[in-house]
Amino acid sequence: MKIYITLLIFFFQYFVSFSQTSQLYNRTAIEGELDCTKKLNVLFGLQSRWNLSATSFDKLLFKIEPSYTINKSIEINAAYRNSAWKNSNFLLDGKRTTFANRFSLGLRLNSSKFKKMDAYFRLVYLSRIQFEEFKFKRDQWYWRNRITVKAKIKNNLIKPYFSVESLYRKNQFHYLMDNEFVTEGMVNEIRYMLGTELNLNKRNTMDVGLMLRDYQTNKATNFVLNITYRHDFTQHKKRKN
Amino acid sequence: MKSILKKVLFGIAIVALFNQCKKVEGPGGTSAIRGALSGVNFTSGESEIIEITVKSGSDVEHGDYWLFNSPTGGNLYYVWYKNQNWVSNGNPFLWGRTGISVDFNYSDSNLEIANKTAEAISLALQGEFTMSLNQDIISLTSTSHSAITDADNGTTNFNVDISNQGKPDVIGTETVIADERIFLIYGAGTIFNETVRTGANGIFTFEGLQVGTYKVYALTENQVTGEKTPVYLSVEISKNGTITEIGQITISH
Repeated sequence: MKIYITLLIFFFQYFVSFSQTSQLYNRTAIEGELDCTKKLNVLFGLQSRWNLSATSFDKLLFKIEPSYTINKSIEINAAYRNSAWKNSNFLLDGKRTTFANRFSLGLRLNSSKFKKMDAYFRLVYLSRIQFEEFKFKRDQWYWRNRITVKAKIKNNLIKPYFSVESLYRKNQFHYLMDNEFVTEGMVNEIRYMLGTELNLNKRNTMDVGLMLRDYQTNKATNFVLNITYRHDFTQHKKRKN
Repeated sequence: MKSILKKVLFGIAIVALFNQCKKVEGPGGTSAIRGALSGVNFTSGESEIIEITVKSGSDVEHGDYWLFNSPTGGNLYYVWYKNQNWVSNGNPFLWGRTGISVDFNYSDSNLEIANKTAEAISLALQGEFTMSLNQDIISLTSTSHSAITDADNGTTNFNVDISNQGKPDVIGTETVIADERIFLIYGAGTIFNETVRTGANGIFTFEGLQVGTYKVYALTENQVTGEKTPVYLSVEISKNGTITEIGQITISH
């Protein structure tokens, strides 16, 4: 099979997170996108996270996200993410770094075919089953559902959007009851995101948004301020949200 | 550009492949170890200490004797004094007892009588007592913890004193132990990684463990020295989502 590289986008992301514990994190990422065929597309990226408050390295993440477009409304989305961070269980295995592997498979639906609705806003629904394995934590199974509403306005500069995502962890609880292991799930986090894209010119865009991470397990909240700057190194421009 | 990109992607994929999560003993699993703790209450006994204060030779008569006893089942002794000037034997031949003869002279001082008595006793003892001599006082300390029938001065006018009454060790009945700490060591470690407390019925559980080998221990106490030492049990979890029963750990407390 011949694979064509039809589009390549490199961009930089900059996230600043203010948590209730006053920890300030910085995320910097570089991502690329390959259009292998007209229908098959692969997104890949490398991201580093730093705890600015503690002036220490937090995490390094590598991801590959292939997606297959069935038609204008339906897309199958898969993802693999490998993350590495400082091993707090160094005494157990003698390794200074520990890793996690995340796999997910999902479906993306968008309302592009509904023309009436499409005139004012566009709906994107993403549903994913996600599995992540750790060395010193229990495996995590998630069912993630996100709805994004993108307003359609005549202004070419801004493209506002709002999204809600629920994260249902299938094995949130794991305990012994009458000689049997019992697993129970719950929605342990809901994410709300309000933001806008800023189209500066053909090659330079920005994304400014605020995410509220509402943890259901300890009733804590966490704000993530997202200021992303993207520079397209290619002549083409194509991005998915 | 394409070939560079392919190489970079290939390199990253290789790194990711080697970074697979190979799990080791420790947290993050779905298995459990369960057991029960029982204990035996141990009360340490005491040694019997007999102190005999002897008199001088002029206070002793040919054939005089005094008595002391070993713990139950051991020898019963009588110490008798023999003056060579007498024709008669003088041995009282107490039935059921082992005689220890001490040659003496009427002119012997109390210290000489004490020395001769101690020497004769040391030759006869079979490990039931340890003996010490302080001037004219002979001390006999039982080597085991048990109740001993008291010594008696017999026909002598020696002072025979029981300065410490012997008591046997008491081992209580085995019962479950609640609210006691149990420790868990991952793999070949030497220091505990987790600890839990036993419940009301003495049962304890370590949950959320991965497949591998572990060591469980509880501390048993030496009631004489007060020293606490671990009682280990090795455990192997061979399958995820299982409970490995390790049975009972018994300690002294």
